[in-house]
This record gives sequence, C-alpha cells and structure tokens, in this order.
Amino acid sequence: MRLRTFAAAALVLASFLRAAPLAAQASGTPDFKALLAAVDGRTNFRASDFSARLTLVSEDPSKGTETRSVRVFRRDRADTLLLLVLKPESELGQGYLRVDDSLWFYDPESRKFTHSSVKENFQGTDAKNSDFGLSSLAEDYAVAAHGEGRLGAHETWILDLKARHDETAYASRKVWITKKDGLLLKSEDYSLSGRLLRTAYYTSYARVGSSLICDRFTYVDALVAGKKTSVLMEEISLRPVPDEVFTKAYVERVNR
Amino acid sequence: MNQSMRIAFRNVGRQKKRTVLLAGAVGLGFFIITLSGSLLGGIAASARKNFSAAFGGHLYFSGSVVSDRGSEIAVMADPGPLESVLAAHARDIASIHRRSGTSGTLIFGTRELRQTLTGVDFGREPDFAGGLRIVSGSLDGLSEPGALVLPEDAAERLGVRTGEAVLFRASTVHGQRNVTELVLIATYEGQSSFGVSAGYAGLGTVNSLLGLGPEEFQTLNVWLRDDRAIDAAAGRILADLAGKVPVEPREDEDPMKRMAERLLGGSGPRSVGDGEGWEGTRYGLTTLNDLMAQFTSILSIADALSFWVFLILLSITMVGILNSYRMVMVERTAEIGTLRALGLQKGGVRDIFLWEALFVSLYGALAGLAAALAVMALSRAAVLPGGTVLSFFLDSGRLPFSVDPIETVRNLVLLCAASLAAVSFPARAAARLPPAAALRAAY
Repeated sequence: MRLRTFAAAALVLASFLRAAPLAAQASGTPDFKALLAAVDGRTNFRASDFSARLTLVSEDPSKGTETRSVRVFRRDRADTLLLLVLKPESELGQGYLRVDDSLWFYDPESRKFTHSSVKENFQGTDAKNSDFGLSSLAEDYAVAAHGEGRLGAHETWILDLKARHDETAYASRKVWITKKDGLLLKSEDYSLSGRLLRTAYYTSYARVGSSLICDRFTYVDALVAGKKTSVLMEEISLRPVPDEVFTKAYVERVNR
Repeated sequence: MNQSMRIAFRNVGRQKKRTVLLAGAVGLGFFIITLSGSLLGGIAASARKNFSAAFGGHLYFSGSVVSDRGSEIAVMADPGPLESVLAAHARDIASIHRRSGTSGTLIFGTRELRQTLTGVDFGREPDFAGGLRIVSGSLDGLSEPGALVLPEDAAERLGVRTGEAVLFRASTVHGQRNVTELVLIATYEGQSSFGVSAGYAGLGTVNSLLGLGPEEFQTLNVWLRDDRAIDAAAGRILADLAGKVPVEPREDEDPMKRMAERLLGGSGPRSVGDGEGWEGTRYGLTTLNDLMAQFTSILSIADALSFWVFLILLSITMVGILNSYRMVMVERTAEIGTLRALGLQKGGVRDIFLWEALFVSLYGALAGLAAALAVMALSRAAVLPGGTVLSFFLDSGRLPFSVDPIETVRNLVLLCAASLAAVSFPARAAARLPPAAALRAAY
C-alpha cells in the first residue's frame, strides 16, 4: 500500500517536472537551463564518436593571414579529445590530447608532451582549445538575466550568463539563441574584470545524424582590432574512432 | 740554510737576463690563471647577484591548494606554518617578501607580446627600486595601482612608451580569462636571453588579475644573510616544514619548468588525479641554486679548462726551468767545486739551486699577480654598453673580477712546488759533483 502511494507521488512529481518547462514556455519564457542544455546536447555526441577536419583562417594585423588545417577526434562520453595539426607544414604533427582531465600538447620537434590548458588559445588563434571539445553551458553557467531581440533574420533569446564556478574559461557570457530552433548564433565572452574579450558568431549549421552542428564560426578578438579567426568544419563523421587514437603513443606515431 | 739562501738570492741577481726570462715565463702562467679565475669568479658573483635580484631572493616558497573541482590552484592560502618555520630560522634570513606572478599577453594597439608579470609589495620591499637599472621613465609612481615597469626590450618590441596604457591579458589562478589596463611608468635594462625579463606591478594589481584578494600572495621569497649557504638553509627549512605540512618533492622536475608552472601560472591549473590530493596548502621550494644550476656547471667547466691551461703552461715552464738549471750546473761546476772545497756540504749546494728556483718562481708569481691586478683595474675603469647579453654578467656595466685569496695561494704553492720539483734534478746532480773534479772543470 505504502509502495503504491510512493509510486503515485513520484509519478505526479515527475509529471510536474516535465511540465514545468512547458508551463514556462506557455507563459512566454522557456526554461533557460533546459535551453542551454539543448544547445550543449546539439554540440555533444555522447552516443557516438565524432571526427572532422577544421580549417582555421586567422587574420592578425601584425602577422597577416594564416591558415591552419586540423583534424579533430572526440569521444564525448569519455571527455577525450585529440586535435592534430595537418597544416602549415611547420606545425605538422603537433597535437593536443585531452585524457584523464588533462590536456597535453605534443611537439614533434622535441618529441615531448607538455601540460596545456583547455582554456588556452589554440595555436595563437582566437579559438580556445575548449571550443573544440565538450560544450557545458548548462553546467558551467547560470542565467543572470534574459531578454529578446533580433539577430539578422532570427528572433532570439539574449541571455546573460554568469559562471557557476571560477574554473570556467570566462566569468560571464552573453549568448543569442534562436527562439525557433534553439541554435546558438552569437556569444560575447567577458573577462573576470567585466571586459569584453571576444565575440563568437556561429553562422552556419549542418545536419549530422539527427542533430544540427555549427560548421562555420568566427571568433573576433575584442582587444586587438582587426584580429579574428574563422573556422570551417568539414568531413564531419560520427563513425567509431579506434581507441588507440586517444593515446599519447598514437600522437607520437602519427605524422612521423 | 741561511748561507745557501743568501748565495741563491745573490745568484738570482747576478744573471738578470736569465732570471727575467724564467720569471717572465712563470709570471705569464700565473697572470693567466689569476685573471681567468678572477673573471670567472666575478662573473659567477655578478650573475648570482643579478639572478637573485631578478627573481627577488634566494629561496622561493610557493603554495598550492586543491580546488573543489580537483584542480591545483597556485596560491599560498595558509602561510602560517611556513612563516612560523621561517621565524625559527630567523638568524639565517635577511628578509622575506610576498609576491605573486603570472604570464600573459601584453597588448598595445594591434601588437601583442608574451610577458611575465611579477606582483611586488613595494611598501614592504623598499630596496626593490634600487635593484633595477632604469632606462626611461621613473619609479616615483611605483605604488600607484596599475603602474607597470617593463624591460626595455619588451617595451621596444611592443612600441609602447612611458606614460602610455597597455592591456595585459592573463588567466586567474583558477584558469579564468582576465584582462586589466596598466600604465607603463618606466623601463629597465632586462635580460630576456636568460629568461629574466619580468614586468613588475603592484602586488594588489597582479592579485586582482589573478582573482586573488589584495592581501593574498603566491610565493614567499627569502633573502638569506649568506648566499653561499642556500642549499644548507633550504635543506634545514624544508626538513622542518615537511614535518608539519604537505611538501612537494624537489628532485623530480626541471627547476626552471617548476618555477614557470608554479610561480608564473604556466599553462593554467593542473588536474589533481584521484588519490593524489592533499589537505590545505602544499608547499614547494625552488632555490637560486636550482635556477642557476646549468649556468654554474658551465662556469665550472670554464674554470676547470682554465686550470688545465695553467697546468699545461706550468709544465712547459718547468721544462724550461729544468733545462736552464742543467745549464747553470754546467756553468757553475768550478764554482761548486770551490764552494765544496771551502766546506760547503752537498746539501748546501742542492739548497742553493732550490732557493734560486723558489726566488725565480716567487718573482714570477708576484709579477704575474701585479700584471693581473693592473689589467683588472684598467678593465674596471671602462663601462661597457648595456642592453646586451653580456650586461647580465657585468657589475654595474663593468667587467666583474673577484680575486679568491685561497685559490691564489693554492696556485702559488702549486707553482713553487712544481719549480722545486723541476730544479731538484739538476740540484741533486750539482750536489753529487766530486769537489776535486769540479775544481778541475774549465767551461
């Protein structure tokens, strides 16, 4: 009898929790945490491996334009990541391997792995190492304020995000998410001191399996005028990646 | 003995040309070893002084804690145990300073430059300003929030002048991105070639960038009273500390790398593996000797090489002395016969030769020492241009020399012993000459 009562109560509670975002939506504002989780879910592939080829074009007023080609392998269920530099020739064989909560940078010249950070900029570009890994907006940030606005042709939610803890790359962010599809279109990333550091534009989404993933994005440096990095993602695949790819031995061997 | 010494002394003066040549050869060797030894000693002392000034002490204690999310955060959250241990070693310690530091990117217009930045508590380090050779600007506004002092070469590469504002982008101790605006108030003569090229700002300014409170800090830098006792003092302090709190092992890592990662933020917080964590603050220690180990070993090799050159020169000179005194023996055979006929014993003849060699060696050594001191004095008068790699080894722009009395005496003893050894052969031969045969000799 008591078990039946408990089960009924749990059922009522579960129904209430499932209905809550809908209720919020009905009143005009969605459950923003769920919205952020949906953005994360669209970027993360927990059921399969992920690989793609990235082309990064960096424009720097003092260095000129540089183009890099990078192969990315991800296994999001284990939070592992491998970035292998294919171009330019001078950086061929360099790699970033994230395993066991540590990010290692491999330099083929010295043949050594050194500790790096996912929060560091990737190869001097405006992209961060973390930009190519798991997205954790819902886990890392809380919505401090929200608004609405148009971004191009899209009606968007504009969310002010504050870091839930002090180990996020940015202390606060402002994101534009489409009302219709829940796609992240733009992000402004702020320092701890509240200064705008960079603006990210997510300009194109490609369908991968049942999901949509951003395949063209641009990071604009807010501190150095004229500095930006555009990223194009191609050859996207959800096919299984061999286990050995996510090992230091593989990084040492490949491109030798 | 006195009689032999008097005769030897007179003999040295009798044949001035030969004495000058022999003493000159000996003096050249002594000149080279004294000059090179003093220069290497001076370079070591200057580099030691410049390195310790650049790093702000002789011992660098760092602290780290494990965050709630399992990352190693470089902050001395609880300096109490360390401060109490240091207080117990107060007799070895001249002063203690609190510092923080990070590495990041300086931005001026469209130019960017990687730069380390050290936060100094200027109020508690009144001598800090005196340790920098200012090239432009002034340190008057050093205590102002946001004031920045840069190495001259860094300012040049960035194209920034004193009075202008720059941005500094770095990570907090937790790895979060941060940026602050700083105003360049002065530039100093740095040495980026040796990794000594820190920018300096107030401790509060750097702490704010690192996400730390104004009174927090990352390292305790200790100046010892005797910089020759660094290893001994470090060992004693660390042993006392290890009994109270977690202490990082020192042997496993490259000290420069450890310094960069632990004291300058390196590449962000490391993840601490399961079961590898610790409670409270874990302390680490890097010493000036750790940082200078490679440089010191290079100097030791140079010192050993110069000593070998001295030994080779000494050997050549000894062969010259040996041959000279064999000729002397032949020249003085009749004289030796007369002396023996007048009652001088074999030992007396031998002693005359030995005393002569000793006098020649002493004259030569004194001349070599005098010449070396004269060259040192002349070199010290010239101020070399700054801003070069060389300037890090100079003493206020001058060539540094440090004459080590013990080393000088050692070289002198070695020289005299070698001379006596070389002359002992002709001396013994002269002593063994039969007096009658010697008297009959006509050369």
